[in-house]
Amino acid sequence: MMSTSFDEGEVERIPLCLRSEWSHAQPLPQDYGPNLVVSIAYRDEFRETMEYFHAIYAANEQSYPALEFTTEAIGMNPDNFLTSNFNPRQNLLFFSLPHMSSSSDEDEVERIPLCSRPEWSDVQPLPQDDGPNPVVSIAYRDEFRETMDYFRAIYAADERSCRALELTTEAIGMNPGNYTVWHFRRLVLESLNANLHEERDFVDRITFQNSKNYQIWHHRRWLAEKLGTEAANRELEFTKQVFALDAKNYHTWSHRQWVLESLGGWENELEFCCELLEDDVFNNSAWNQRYFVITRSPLLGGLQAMRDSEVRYTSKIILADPHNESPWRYLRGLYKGEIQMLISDNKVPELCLKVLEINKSNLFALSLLLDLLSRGHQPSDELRAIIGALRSSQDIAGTHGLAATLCLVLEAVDPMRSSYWAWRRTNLPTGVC
Amino acid sequence: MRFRFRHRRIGRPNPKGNRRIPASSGEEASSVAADHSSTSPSSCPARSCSTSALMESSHPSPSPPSEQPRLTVTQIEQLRVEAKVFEIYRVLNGVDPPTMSLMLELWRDKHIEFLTKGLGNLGPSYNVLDANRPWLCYWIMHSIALLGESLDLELEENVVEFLFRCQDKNGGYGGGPGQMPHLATTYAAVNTLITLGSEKALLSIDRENLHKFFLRMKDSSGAFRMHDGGEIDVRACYTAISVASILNILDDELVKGLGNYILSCQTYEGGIAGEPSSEAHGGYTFCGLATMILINEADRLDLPSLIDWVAFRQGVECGFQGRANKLVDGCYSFWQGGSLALAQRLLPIVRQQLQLSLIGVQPSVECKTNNGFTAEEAGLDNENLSHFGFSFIQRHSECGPLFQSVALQQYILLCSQVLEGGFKDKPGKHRDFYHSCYCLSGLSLSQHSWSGDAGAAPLPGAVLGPYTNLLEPVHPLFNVVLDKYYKSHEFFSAL
Repeated sequence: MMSTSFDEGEVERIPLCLRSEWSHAQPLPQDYGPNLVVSIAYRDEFRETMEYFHAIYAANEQSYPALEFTTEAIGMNPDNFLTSNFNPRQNLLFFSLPHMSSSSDEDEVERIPLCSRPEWSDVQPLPQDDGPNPVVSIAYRDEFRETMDYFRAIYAADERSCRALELTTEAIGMNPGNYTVWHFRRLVLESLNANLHEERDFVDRITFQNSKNYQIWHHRRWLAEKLGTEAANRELEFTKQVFALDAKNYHTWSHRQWVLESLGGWENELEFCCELLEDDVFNNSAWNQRYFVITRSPLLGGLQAMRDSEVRYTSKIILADPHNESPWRYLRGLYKGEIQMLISDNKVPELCLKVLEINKSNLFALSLLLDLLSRGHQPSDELRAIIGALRSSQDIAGTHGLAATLCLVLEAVDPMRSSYWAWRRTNLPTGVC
Repeated sequence: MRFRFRHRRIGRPNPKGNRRIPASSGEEASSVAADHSSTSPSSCPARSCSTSALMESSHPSPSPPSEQPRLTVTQIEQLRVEAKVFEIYRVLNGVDPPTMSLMLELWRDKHIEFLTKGLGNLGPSYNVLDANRPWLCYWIMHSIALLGESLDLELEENVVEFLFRCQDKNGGYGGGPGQMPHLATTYAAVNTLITLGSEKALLSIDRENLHKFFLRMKDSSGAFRMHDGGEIDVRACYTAISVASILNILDDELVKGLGNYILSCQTYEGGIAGEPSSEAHGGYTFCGLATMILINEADRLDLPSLIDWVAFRQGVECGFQGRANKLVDGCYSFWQGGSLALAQRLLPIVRQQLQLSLIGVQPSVECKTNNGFTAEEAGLDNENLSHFGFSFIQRHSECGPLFQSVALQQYILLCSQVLEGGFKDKPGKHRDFYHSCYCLSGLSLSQHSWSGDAGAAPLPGAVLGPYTNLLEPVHPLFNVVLDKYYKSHEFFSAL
């Protein structure tokens, strides 16, 4: 949940140009173009890594060394905005965005200290009251300390001016996790009746480097709410861009759902889910979104109306790769709250049996069958036979009911969950087959 | 005892579909490629029979359907992690018992060194945690307490004084002196003070204003906001209720509507999401379940589905993932392992729910047990909602863990533990205090998961590696060391 990681010690890095396994690659320098909003003096290793990355991306080299390499690139930016996603649909917007080497220690832009800026000469900076014996003391860099000292002064005075707004921009740049600064920024924006479209542009620019930051997404939501329904399309489009870099970003999905519920834009949502699942059928976030659309979209008929077609869709995907957990959970979800329907719809056990034909100890099929029986499903002869065959193949002795047999089979074929299956077996409801 | 799961070969013997990942020419440096080497499917490296079952375990399959030969991002990332993890386990299984014992040792001294240093001074890269300093205190202090150590009194005093400066005059703690109060940093601060446990530490908490702060953060949806004008989610609910309960300031007003909100966050998968309709997630599942227990509404959740979902989060790597089809991470040792540890004390209710969900058969047992707490437990003090946390831990746990405890310990010690001290998410990542805290917390839970009564000394078989690996037990609802919890419970009950 708190996704930042730090290391105090650096490992000795060998430049890529000196590594034999990369001698075949021609690094590709990038022109970051006119969209560069913050001029950055990259450290050599970051620049080099990026140049090699662009080369292998351009060549679409999908090799394991390439993957190892993206780890290095990601390691240079703890916010992980690079991914190993070589998916053809990847949005090339990524390459035109400004990149921040976020663990920069040196001054990257020529920054004028606040104490030297005439427009701040009337303000008395307010130092942090850490006390005489602080703990978890951070060795703030001078510009950080100074910025926060001035922020404290403005915050204490509740000064909601343009310069206050600019100051929060600087403070956010240094620590986007400071929720007090964000809160105050909102107060300032409101007091100034500021242009929220410009504010949104600002948030757009910093989101990609901080895509796992709670405060930024909360601020986005606040903004979008103020901008109203006209903001819907832009917000949906923006989340798509983030998904192109990380298709499972939790905050981004929550935001997208909020936009749909509050501002609308449902028209293409199911199609969007289909696209994402085509890109990566294992993307559980996309499955979750699909469930959200099916059940909440005002343009579709709701779960009841969609159930049959969704069962068909999901079954096909399960049969294509029965080891993918997501569609199995989704399938169960289609019967949420409808136990009677679940246990009497033959399609479900039939699907399980079909899967067991191609993969005889498929964990998900067995576990779903167990759940069906536990809830009172009356087994067909075919199901009884299959369970009988499994009992023999696993050398299970003794007389057991069908559900209990399944538990024993699962204990054998899914040893990671053996205690769970054992507990299930001793807690089968009385009256179960 | 060593866990019997061995390195398993990545890639199942299914040649269908052309994989874009090229067969190795033999020179690949990365171990991942080595595992995907040109060995044909029919000549898989020898693996023990016990792993053949493991092959069927849930994980993204590298055998794609024939019309889509490309491996997906999920599959690629999963395979990379598996390669690293299995390499580590392969080494473990290849060494003699004394070396194995050494590898499975908890490097206490290095951890203490890392933690103590962090309590003092942190480098400038910690700028980004400048609004999270009480968290740093909690992650570090709790880890030290789990290791059975304590700081010298002067340093402890310094922590108390520092946190006092983070306390807002109108209640609650902020991320640093002068910052707005925030529920998460409040949780961290209070848990730290309880871990310190001195009278001065406990008295420094302004409970009255804290209660008012919670009321201000209460939202009409029944949930809580993290801070004034802040985000609403299940995490906020947990942090508020956990603190209110442990400080004995929980009341009806704080609880009102909360159960409904959390219930609306249980998803079709069985786990709990941060907000209604979001994806089921380990962190939020813990927060949601713990909160429901603390407000005595756990039976309103679909517990069988929840337990099923969490149980399936433990994968072939032996650790837990946070969401389906995502990667293992050491911190989920606590969030997911903890959820199952909580479930262990709810089994009577779960059994009932299972019985009730059986269609067509009349339940033979009358179902009301007063929301899981016995009449005696509930009747003890009808006015005081804060006692549920205490009653919960008094319960006897009928059965062992619902997850593979030794396997989890194996992951934590071998894949998350860092030689220089501290713990990390997974091989390839860097250590940090957050992971140190939650890996150790998860390790503690695992070691104690067979103890029927909280705090009872575990049998040697429950502890992977030397018995000296044993950590202090925690209270799984609050994640503070049990002894510290009891001390503070006694203290605040009197107030």
